[in-house]
This record gives sequence, structure tokens and C-alpha cells, in this order.
Amino acid sequence: MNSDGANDMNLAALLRAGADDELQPDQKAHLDAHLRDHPRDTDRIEFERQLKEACGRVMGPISAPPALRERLIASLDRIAQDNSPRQEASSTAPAPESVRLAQGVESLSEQTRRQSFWNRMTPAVRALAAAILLLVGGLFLLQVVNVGSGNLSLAQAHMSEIATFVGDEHDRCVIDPSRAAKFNISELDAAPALLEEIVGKSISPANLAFGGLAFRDGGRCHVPGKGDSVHLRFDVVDQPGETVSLFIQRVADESDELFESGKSYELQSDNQGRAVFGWAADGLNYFLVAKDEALCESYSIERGLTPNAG
Amino acid sequence: MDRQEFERLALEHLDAVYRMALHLTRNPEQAEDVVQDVYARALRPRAVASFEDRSSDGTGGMRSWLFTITHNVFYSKVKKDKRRPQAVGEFFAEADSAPLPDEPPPAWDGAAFDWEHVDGRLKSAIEDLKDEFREVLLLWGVEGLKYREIAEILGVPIGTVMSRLHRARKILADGLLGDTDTVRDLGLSRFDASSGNGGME
Repeated sequence: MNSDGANDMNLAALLRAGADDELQPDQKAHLDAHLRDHPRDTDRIEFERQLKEACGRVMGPISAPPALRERLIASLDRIAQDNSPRQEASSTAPAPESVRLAQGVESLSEQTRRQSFWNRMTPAVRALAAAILLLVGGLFLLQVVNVGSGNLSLAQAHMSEIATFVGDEHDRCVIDPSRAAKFNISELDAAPALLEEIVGKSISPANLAFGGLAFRDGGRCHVPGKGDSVHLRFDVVDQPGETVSLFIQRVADESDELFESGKSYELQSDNQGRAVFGWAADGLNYFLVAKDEALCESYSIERGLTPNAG
Repeated sequence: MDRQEFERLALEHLDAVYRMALHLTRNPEQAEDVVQDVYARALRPRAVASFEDRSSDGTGGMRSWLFTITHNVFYSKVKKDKRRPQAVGEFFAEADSAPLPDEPPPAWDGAAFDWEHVDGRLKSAIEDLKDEFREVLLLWGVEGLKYREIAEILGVPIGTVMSRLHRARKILADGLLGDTDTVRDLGLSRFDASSGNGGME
């Protein structure tokens, strides 16, 4: 133990620090002298030692749930897979861990550029999306995030972290019914008040709804970042059992500013088992998770074109 | 450090990280969220570099580093959720300036303890402690860390660690010894917890 807090140690602190074997030699000598004069105080020290043991016994036997461990390992594997192609292509020498992790994030972003949404849509969905575009005037184009190879930022790493979180949270809520306890509304009409309370902005049901989706439930969530967030879920009407998640996060400060206004970003593509799109509007970040990338595209196009005024 | 080694080391301490998260949040679901945030942060490029710097100068290993992140993640959530009427910083400032409690540990008549009979009551008393006290108690009592290590993890002076530990222990002792059944179960008698001179009759 160093001097701050120890030099002027009173008897209580001396006995407790003695029980913890935290005394410096001069303090130990002082304690020994005290115990010679007050031998019963050795019992006090023993009490403290036993209290410590009891605390260890009461607080200690806790293990992480196996499912949590599996999820973490799966997340790590996913990052490793994201890293591997670039590592093979770039160099035979292993890059530093920080660089490889950064490359993983970049690789994630590259996937968003790799395949054109328009080329991958079915004719029907393409027609639907085109119609929406025409209706709203075609003011914005969907753009995917373009991360320059030498321009990786902490914000982009944060974006990757969020994409993983919202994707995993979406899956968790589907798989684990107990997670659904966080959802405290089940009517779309209740969503504006929930959003007002948590993210500070009310969004009308009309601006949350989307054709082919039926509102399921919503509640507070904890999307990484400083701003509070809400998790809303919708059922895909034509696909029983399929759920879409919309996470809405308040942009608390510049560290939460991830997206350029008017653009949507494909953070994960559906060839990863789910699609995650993100965009920002009116001081809020939106993250949409669905199995179908085309649905994400259509939804984000509509949202991007008609940003809610709160 | 290569990726596999980094992951292996990080996951080796998952139980300890979860334990800390659970004792802080007192809610398994929130604890899992905290743990996931901890590992997500731990894998950020800047965080990995921070760990490598910290390891290289000998100021801490993986476990302490993960505890630091867990502490930061939890209190970030506390601030964000506005669960506490008093700002964390204000509380820390108050704790930092407060003198160490002068009450000595309780004395007893030397009869054999039987702590296991009071584990349930001790557990309840621990759960009633403030987060700051429970956190330091965990790092000290379960993880076996020294005052200095705890201070580094929490980012507070060592005196603050001592102060919190003393207060936490006193609250626990007072809680246990204020209960006549507990005193009987512990095998205590004729103690005087408030006396500084040995307290024996």
C-alpha cells in the first residue's frame, strides 16, 4: 500500500489493512506494537479475515451462462472470418492485431459495396422499390458506405460493433423468449410515446409502418453508444415466423454521428445470414435488421426519403 | 499478440467478467449485455493497442484490463439510464474526500465462528450495498486483488479504495452483528462493536 491514505491511518484502518496484508513494514511494526498492548485485537483482525473469506464464498461461485460464451465465440469467429480474405490477399506476414481488426471492419464495409442491391432484387421487389422511388420523387439514392483503405476511423469500428450488437440482439430476442421481457408495448400506437420517453423524439405510427410488416412489440434497448435507444419489432406478414427489428438510437453527441444524412448504409448483407442497414435522420440513428436484404433496402429508401420531423 | 492468443486470454476471464457485471447490475440479462459490450470494446483496434501498451509496461494483465472495461461500461450505462439521482462523479468526489471510518472491526469472545450459517444474511447485506461498495468488495474478496490493483481498475486513489472497503465491511459487520440470530449463529457473545479498546467485557 502506498502512502496516500495510509500515513494517517487510524486504528480501524490499521487493523483492516493488517488483515489484508496491505501494510508497509513501518505500519506492520506499528500494528505489532499495538497488538502487544492489546492482544484481544488479534481477534478483530481474524474477524476481518473471516469476513473476507465469507464474502468470497458468497459472491464468488458465479459462472457465465454457456449461451453467452457461445455467442461471444461466434462473434469472434465472425470477425475472424471477415479478416481472413484480406489477410491472404495482402501479405504473408501477420499484421499486428490492431491492424487486422481494423481490416476486419473495413472488410465488413467492403461487403456492402460488393453486390448491387438492384441487381440482386427479384423483379417484383425491384418494381416495388422503383415505384416507391418514383412516388417520392427520387430525391435520394441509396448509397453504401465507402471506407477508404487508409481512412478507417473509430466511428467505423463503432459502426461495426453496433451492427454486430443489433444483429445479435435481433437473433437473441427471436431465440430466447425471456429476452422479450424488455418489450413493454405491443401496439404501434404506443410507439410514439415510447420513443418520446427514451430517445426524446416522437415518431408517428405512419412513419414507422411499412407495407408487408405488422408491428409486434417494442421496448428500451441498449445499442452501443451514448444515446438511449429503442428496439421495435415487426412481423413479416407473408413469412410467418420472420421478424424485422428496427433499432432507433438518439444521437447524443458527435461520437454517435455515424452516417451521412440522406444515405443508408448496408452494415451487414444477407449472405451473412441477416442484413443490417443503418442511416440517420433528425438526430436519430436507425438500424434495421432483417433476413431479407431487399426488405431492408425498401424500408430504408422510404425512410431516407421521408425523414421524420420528430 | 496474435488474434487467437488475444481471444483465448480474453475468454479465459469470461466468468470473472460476468461475475463482476452481475454483481454490478444485479440482473442476469443486463449483465450479459454488459459482458457483450465489454468484449465488443475489448476488440476495438484502439482498445487492443491500449491493452498491449498496458501489458508491456507491466501495469496490468488481461483480467484487470477487462475489469476496467467492465467498470467503465457499467457506469456509462448507469449515467445513460439515469438510474441514479446522484452523478457518479459527485459520489466519487464525496467518497474521496471523506475520512476513513474510525470504527474498528468488531471483537468477540473467541468462540468458534460459524459463518456458513449466516451466508444467506451476508448475501442479502451485500446485495443492499451501494454499487461502488459491492464492486470493491468483489475485487477484494473474490478476485483477491490488492488495494493498488483495485485503484487502477476503478481509476481512483488508493485511499478511496480503502475508504470504500472500510465502509462496506463496517456496513456488513453492523448488519450481521445487529441481528441477534446472526450473533448467536456466529458464536459471538458479549461483543462490543463500537468500542475501540477491544470491546470485551
